[in-house]
Amino acid sequence: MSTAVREYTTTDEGEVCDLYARAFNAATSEMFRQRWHWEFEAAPALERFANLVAERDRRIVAHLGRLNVRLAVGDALVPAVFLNDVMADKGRAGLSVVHLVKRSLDEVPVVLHFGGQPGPDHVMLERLGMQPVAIGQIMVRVERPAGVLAALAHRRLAAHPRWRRAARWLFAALGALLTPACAVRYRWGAKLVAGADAVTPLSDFDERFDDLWKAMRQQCPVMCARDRTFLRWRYRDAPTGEYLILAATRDDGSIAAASVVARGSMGPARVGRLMECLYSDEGALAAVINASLAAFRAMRVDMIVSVGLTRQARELLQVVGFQAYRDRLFMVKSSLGPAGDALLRDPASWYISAGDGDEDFERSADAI
Amino acid sequence: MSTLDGRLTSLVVHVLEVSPAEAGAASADTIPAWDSLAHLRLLMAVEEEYGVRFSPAEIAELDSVKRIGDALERLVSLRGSA
Repeated sequence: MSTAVREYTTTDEGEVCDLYARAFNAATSEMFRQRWHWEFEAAPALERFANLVAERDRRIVAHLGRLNVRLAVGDALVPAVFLNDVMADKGRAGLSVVHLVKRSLDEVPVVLHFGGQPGPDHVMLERLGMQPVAIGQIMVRVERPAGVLAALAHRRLAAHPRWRRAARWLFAALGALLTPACAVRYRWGAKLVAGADAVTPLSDFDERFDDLWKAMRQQCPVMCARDRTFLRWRYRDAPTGEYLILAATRDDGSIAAASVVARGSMGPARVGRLMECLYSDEGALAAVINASLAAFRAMRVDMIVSVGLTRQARELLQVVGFQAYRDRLFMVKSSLGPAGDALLRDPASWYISAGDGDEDFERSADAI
Repeated sequence: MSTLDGRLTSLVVHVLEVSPAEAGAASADTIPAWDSLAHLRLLMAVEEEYGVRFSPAEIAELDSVKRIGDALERLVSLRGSA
């Protein structure tokens, strides 16, 4: 019963969806199918590496998603993939996952993995040659303690559905007691000293975002391309989620900074997600952070979460009360040679955000 | 593998929860519990027991007790001649 690894073909779709239902959740299988087409077939790419499947006895027993991205490494733009949607048929897969990952590491110039809790999966990736880079810092700002307490209780009461439904109102009183302490710790009402650029919502990513991406690239030599092609695919065309674009615009009409924000849920709690912070100078960055906080207040979120971004952005977020929570695991393997490898392993080189990999999707809220 | 297989098969029995009779000829093709994560647990247990380290390239190839034993003999003899 040997294992054969090959590229995914369209005729595999039914079997892969069945595998998803067995490995994860039958109820979300249709959502998976929609996201799957968008993520793996429509992502802007320099070279498209197809997803891989492993077969035993002519049956698909494992799948590895490869989200293609254009990765800026210094002056070059290189093909890279994020590994995700690893699925295996328990008891039938054998070493399939090892073979799928190994083939990817052998054939793609840069392989990335972002997400998940520390555990055996990460040990496996590390032993197969990937290396961790500390760039996935998660920061949190609590806005409504009752909602956050309800979310924590919701997670811990997974085995008691009736108590789960009651969680939100149950914590209203305790949340009210914690409100004064949270107001101090999370600096409610604090605003950054910002530049004079006006911040307004935009309905689309136009050609001005290409210039913003160039300015961002000067500051962060390693980041997935964030030109308008990527941003449109990632936030306008995504089948799940609605995103708000906020841009600080100069007098001449050019964009000095922009953020992308979204509202999601974690059990009964509303979670604001600061997806992107792209900027050319600190004053404009401060302006979009202030505007993003105002947008989250209008959304009535219980907490705000950011992942990664730049050190400069995280420092400003701390000024307005964001607290470091923990690191989202990030791993990389490249065959770019010593200069490229050195850049990729330097956390200070990177910009990464919740818009990278599949950080933003169904598993991520529970991983906060 | 003659000098190694007693300890090696004990590890296989312990990590993969197979019978001692099955352990000597076990492979990822014949033992359903021998999946990718169990594979890493087994190889790391072997590394700790014998004080060796398998390379990333070897890890995907060592899919049977025989192959693990052969790789171990090579690594142990290399260490002895160093």
